[in-house]
Amino acid sequence: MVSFDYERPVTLKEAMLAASREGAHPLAGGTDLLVKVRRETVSPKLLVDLKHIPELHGITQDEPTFIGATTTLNQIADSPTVLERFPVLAKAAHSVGSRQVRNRATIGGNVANASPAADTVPALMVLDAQVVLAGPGGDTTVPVCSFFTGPGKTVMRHGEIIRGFLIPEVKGTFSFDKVSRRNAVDLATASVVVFGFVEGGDVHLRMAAGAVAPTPLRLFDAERVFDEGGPDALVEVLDAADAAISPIDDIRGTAAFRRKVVRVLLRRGIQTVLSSLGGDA
Amino acid sequence: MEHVIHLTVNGTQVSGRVRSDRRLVDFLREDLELTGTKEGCGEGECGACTIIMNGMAVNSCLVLAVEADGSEILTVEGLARGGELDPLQEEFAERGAVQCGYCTPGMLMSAKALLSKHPSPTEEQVREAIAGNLCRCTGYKKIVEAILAAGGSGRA
Repeated sequence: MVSFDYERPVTLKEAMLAASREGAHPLAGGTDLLVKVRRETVSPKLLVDLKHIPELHGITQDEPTFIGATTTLNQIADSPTVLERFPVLAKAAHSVGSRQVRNRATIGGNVANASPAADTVPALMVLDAQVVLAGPGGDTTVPVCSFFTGPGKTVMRHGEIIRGFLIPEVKGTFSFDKVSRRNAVDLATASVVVFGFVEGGDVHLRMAAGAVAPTPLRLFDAERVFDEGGPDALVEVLDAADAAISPIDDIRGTAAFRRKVVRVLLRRGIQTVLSSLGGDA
Repeated sequence: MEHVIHLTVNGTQVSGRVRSDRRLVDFLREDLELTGTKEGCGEGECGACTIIMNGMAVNSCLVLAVEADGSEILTVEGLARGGELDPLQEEFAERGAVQCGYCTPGMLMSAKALLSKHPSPTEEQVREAIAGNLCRCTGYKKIVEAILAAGGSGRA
């Protein structure tokens, strides 16, 4: 492991100052970052530990709901607020790693790490969540749907810190489905989230998929096809999703397998959501 | 960069000088000579290095020693008290839940964290709590039985 310094700021101001230094890298739970540092795929000169900054931690009851970046995945999975308002996010958070990993891993870290398979991201995408970034010029917000630019890459600039996530109130039904080789401590081979809601008498869907493209994807085209054709257009919805994804072959599965899995999970998710909304597919 | 850290390990106040890149598992094993905690994969996959930090099971290979400054740590060495084994250790021994033994300290600590929160867990809760602890001997059945028994809900 390349040698680095470590700082533990207790205010956001101190953290931003430290994070803007050359070679500085924010540290949250470390469950991804410390593995990368040991493998020397990331070689920071300074790790800025964000876990002791009170304003980056916790879940507010406001509207929109704010979830601090260093809130751990177990805290999210067990939070009464999240379970009541955004059960899909609780489920996605609970699907990560193991109890030990979720006790350390944070939602900000899961997003900043920008893995194509990041489990919380498809859920945040269908929730229309916004990333709140603290930077030298003040706070900015970026939709989670446009936050990622490639594997491990985001729109964040050096010196910026994820403060947390804003999630607007939603009323509807969710389904979260993830296929992996084993239940615990494995990355998703593919994951799919479907959110359905009724507006103006019509059912609308929001859908997202993980581990089937360079970044997690919100399936906007498939959503439009559903808006136009409704439940009868299920095959066309699946075709539109299939056209949007670009999976690869890796040790977890082939691209062809992932395409099939996405169709199955989406169909299942859409049917589950529609039947609980009282419609049918 | 070196840091002076102060933490409580198994009820005892300890201090140490560590470099930023020293992991908690190495600090425990090498500096404190608490070699009950094992390192397996070093990447948070296997759970052999599980300890309890501030009441929560964590992989000590994924925690920097300096991050543990100010925390309260329980390792497998801290389970027995006054020469008396913890009920979990009793049940593991009694029910043959140990084969090669390498995963055992991590299993015990994951189980201990569970029982601290849920004294009488269901089998599903037990399996979820140790889902991040791999046993290459696949002694899971006996391990689950031992944890349930220590929780008072095992089949005698």
